[in-house]
Amino acid sequence: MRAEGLFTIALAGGLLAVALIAFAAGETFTITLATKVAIFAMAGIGLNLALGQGGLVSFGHAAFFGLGGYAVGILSSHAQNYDPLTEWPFLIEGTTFMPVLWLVAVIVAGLAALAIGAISLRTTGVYFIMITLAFAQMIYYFAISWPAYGGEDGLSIYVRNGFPGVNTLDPLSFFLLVFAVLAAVILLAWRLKASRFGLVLEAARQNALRVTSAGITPYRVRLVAFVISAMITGLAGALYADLNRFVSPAMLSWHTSGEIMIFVILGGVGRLGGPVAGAALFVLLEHFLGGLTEHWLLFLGLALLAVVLFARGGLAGFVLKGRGHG
Amino acid sequence: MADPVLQLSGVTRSFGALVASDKVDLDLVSGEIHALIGPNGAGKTTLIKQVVGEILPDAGTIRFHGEDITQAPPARRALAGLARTFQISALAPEFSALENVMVAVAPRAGGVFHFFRSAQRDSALVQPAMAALRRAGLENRAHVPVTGLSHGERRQLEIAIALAMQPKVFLMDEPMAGMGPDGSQRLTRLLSELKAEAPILLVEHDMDAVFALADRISVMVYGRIVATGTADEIRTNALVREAYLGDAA
Repeated sequence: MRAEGLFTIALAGGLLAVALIAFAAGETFTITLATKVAIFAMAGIGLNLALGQGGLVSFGHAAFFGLGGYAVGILSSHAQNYDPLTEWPFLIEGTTFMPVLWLVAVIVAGLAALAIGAISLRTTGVYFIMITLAFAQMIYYFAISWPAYGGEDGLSIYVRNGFPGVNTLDPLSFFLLVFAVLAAVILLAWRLKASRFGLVLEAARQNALRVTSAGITPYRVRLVAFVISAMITGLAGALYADLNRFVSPAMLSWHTSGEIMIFVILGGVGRLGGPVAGAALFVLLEHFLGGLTEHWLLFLGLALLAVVLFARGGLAGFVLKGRGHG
Repeated sequence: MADPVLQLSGVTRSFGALVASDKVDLDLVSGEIHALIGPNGAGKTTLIKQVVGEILPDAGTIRFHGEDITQAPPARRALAGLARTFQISALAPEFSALENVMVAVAPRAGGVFHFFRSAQRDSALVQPAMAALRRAGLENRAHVPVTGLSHGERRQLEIAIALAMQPKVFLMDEPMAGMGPDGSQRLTRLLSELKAEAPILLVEHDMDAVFALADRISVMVYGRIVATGTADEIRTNALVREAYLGDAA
């Protein structure tokens, strides 16, 4: 756990350093890339709780990422158009105030996960993968066919939403804000992993029968984990909407679910810092190889293959070697 | 005889044409070790699974302290004090021995939904877990991962987990399986101490241990209890000799 903590701090520190150096060098685009890494890492940390600790292979986390994004998009577009969300039964106006947007995103993602998880967690294995995918695709097609919020074309956020005391339009300031949220999420994931809840969640993954015969219902533990996992990924989606100032059904598509899963697998399933490493590697490959060839996904595939075949623990596992999960 | 702690009446369960439990009547009173013996495939483990709720009987009732638990979910039964050890060790392989026991302590020491406090520093979790390990003789191996434990140590860990459950009944499915003579003897001694704490329903193939330990023995053949009695009664029972002990003894 200790080595894993240091590894995570080193990764996060590295990300911060990259952004600061880029700022000093005037490389604004690199700051944006670093922001993207931080957001993807957060989405991955969310999934890692379900997938890594819980063994719940959700192929539908795009649903929560996208719902977080749409929560921000919808609320801020209403605010920017001075058009209240609803006037009945009482007036609800949009907002461009990030803390409220984040809160709404987290709640929406959590409620969706509660509904999806309550049904999906009655299945296991391949069925769980397929049912989470099916739910996410339902939401994806719903977003496409709902013209009020852009439908297929997505929804623009004209001006990045605000946070008190931070000029969010400035790339470095926005990065630092995202980084602070990431740090908080890492801290939360670390506490969760070491807690009683984390212990039981991991035990249920390793041997559900044992946990049941100790007097614990694995379903409840898993449902709570699934909801927390979705909330974190939803928060990442909210930040992603503001990074791009745009939300579209692509955020909800199964490609996104796959990418979030790739962050986790590349970085190291179940490892605290895994998703940070995985997201960083993903963005690096996308940027540099994507600049060389449009077939960069081929190389991503090879990297993934290498990890699955030769380094089961992903990047984190490779660096930490024999140091156990405990 | 005192009121039974655990009472099975008419418990029946079939899988297709195979009747795994055929109108089984069985009880367990406090302070005793009641051994369940019988040839392989007689339905002993299936019966244990019905007691813990892993499978439900087709007919019959299971009472625990007078309460009908025939349909109760497994986790509730476990929480009520039915502690099971598995025939093939069922442990969390990535965890240490201590962590395995801590999982069993958690639902009895404030529940599992604690999200922030470190479990390793939670004395409400660690102390009872260490105490259980000590009683099972695994104190020195507390921090060894399960993958590093010997077969015998894993059997001891099964017992430690059951102890940590503050059990009212032990259901032990072949606790001696695969243990060397030393280990069997040590375990025999431990079980004879434990029965004062909570009665033990013991499924076991080690006949030396069974005849040394059991206050009562029931013999199961093809899903039916063909005889119940003291060790001497069973040893001399003609039906039992024919069905089971005949070739073994």
